[in-house]
Amino acid sequence: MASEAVAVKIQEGVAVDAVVPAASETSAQRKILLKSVEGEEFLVDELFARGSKMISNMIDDGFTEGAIPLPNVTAPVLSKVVEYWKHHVGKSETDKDAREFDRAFVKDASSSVLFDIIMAANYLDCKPLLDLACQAVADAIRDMNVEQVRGFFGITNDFTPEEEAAVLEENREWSNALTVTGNGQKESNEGGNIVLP
Amino acid sequence: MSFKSGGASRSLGHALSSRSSPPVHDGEPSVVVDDAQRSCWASMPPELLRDVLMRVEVEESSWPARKYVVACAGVCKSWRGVVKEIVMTPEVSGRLTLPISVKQPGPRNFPLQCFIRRNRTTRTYHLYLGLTQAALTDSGKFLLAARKYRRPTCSEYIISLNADDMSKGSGTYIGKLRSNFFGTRFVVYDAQHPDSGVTISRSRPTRLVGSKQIAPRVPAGNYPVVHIAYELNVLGSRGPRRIQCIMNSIPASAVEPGGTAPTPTELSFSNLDSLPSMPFLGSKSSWTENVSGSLFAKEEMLVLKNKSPRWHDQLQCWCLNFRGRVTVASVKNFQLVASDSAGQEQDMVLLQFGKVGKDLFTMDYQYPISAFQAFGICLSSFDTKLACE
Repeated sequence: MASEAVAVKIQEGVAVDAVVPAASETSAQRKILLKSVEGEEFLVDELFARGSKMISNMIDDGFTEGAIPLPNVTAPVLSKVVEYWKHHVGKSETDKDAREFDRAFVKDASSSVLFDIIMAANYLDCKPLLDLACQAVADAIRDMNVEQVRGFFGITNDFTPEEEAAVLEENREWSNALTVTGNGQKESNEGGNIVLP
Repeated sequence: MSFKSGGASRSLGHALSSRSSPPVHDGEPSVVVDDAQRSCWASMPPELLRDVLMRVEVEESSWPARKYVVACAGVCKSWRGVVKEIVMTPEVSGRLTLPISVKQPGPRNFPLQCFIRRNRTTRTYHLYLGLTQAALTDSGKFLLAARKYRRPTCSEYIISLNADDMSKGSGTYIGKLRSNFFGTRFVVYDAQHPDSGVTISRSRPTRLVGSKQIAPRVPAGNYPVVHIAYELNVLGSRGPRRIQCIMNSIPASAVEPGGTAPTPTELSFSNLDSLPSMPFLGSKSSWTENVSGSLFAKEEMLVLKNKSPRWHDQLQCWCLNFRGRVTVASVKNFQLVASDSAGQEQDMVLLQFGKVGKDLFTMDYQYPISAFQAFGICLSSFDTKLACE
């Protein structure tokens, strides 16, 4: 029974779109202030913020005053992470909405956005989000050849010419040469020397 | 799933890279922007890159999808390093991935099922890994190719990783098979030392200090790795011939409990013309003694013999149980088993070869034999004139 908790972005003391939580839950629903590298502050339900093990540990260690600084996470990325928490924390593994959210979350994501999310999820120690983003990258790679992977990820080819020649050979002949035999043709006995079962 | 290429968010993204990256501020020269374009992905922490690549490796476990794993190994040095760490040898995983896997021992407990296609016109032979579980496969992934060259005193089969280029000057030459004049004795040569890049474990004898030692660099050359001999049996040409293979690079202990066989980790492409022939592995020439303690005396080499067929009175022929993998009777068909020091045959069939169609043959091999060695041995069966039909 999660309340209608909303992450409230606080800019210069003006609360935007604040929703007052139901009276019966005020004491249970503490809010945590997270601060991105640019200094932007995000007010997040403690329940959701605990989607990050790192933050969860800090809360348990008694970090109650002020904002938790996250110098490794930018505001756009943190905003996405909070969205993820909203749709996942407190929900079951098989929740349909959560799955639908995941699909939309990674669909059309650029490689740099995926990279940012992977790094943030790793830093914040949010394993399900890390799995989601890593899987999205693995899925992207699946249909690509070497040049396409390099282009998509912006990776420079740093092989020596000899190594590059070997790589080309590996990926041209080795990976692509398949055949079909058109099997099932049997010949007559050839002298009956060695026979089959 | 469609992806857009990285846009403006890339510059902010760098702020959170855990490796140091050039700061993107006003006043920096434009070359910094180029650095930023040279991706964050290349500097991703290895454990995260590993997470991503492991997912690809696990999901693309069979050919043809496995080529995506090979593609990952070709992206850049760091990706290649991670893929080579993740991918396990055929001995452990039962899978062939990168080309070096054709020179590594097959799986321990079951054979890898392959087939060979012969082309009489071009005198070429192509080895494929079977792609389906069917008893007689109908599609395959290319592994090796060989072309036969006739010489005045012998035949030679040049073995290559390229399906179309089996010339002697080919950059993808990896070994060859040479016969004697009579077609009764053959030698399989490996274009790189069987221990290239291998890590020698503690179980190796004497000359090691510490638990691991990388084999020292050995000169490039054609190294004899299998000596094959065909003989008529006591019944002459009325009975199946006898085959013996001395595996110069595999110790007899490999087929005993706890045994291991050499597993090269680096494949080197080379040009046949530039390679000298090396002396018999294990002979007492000076350079062999200087090489690490991976060579051993002839008595300690693994010997394979063909399994003796049984005479079937009713059918009036010699029979072997090929378990459905061979369907046409032929003198070329054989099964090889290990022969221990007392000359006793072990039960496990390590290499099986036999005809299933006009120019189609199955080849099943397993530990401690590699696909390359198996292919070389099977090629000799095509060539030998002994008791031919």
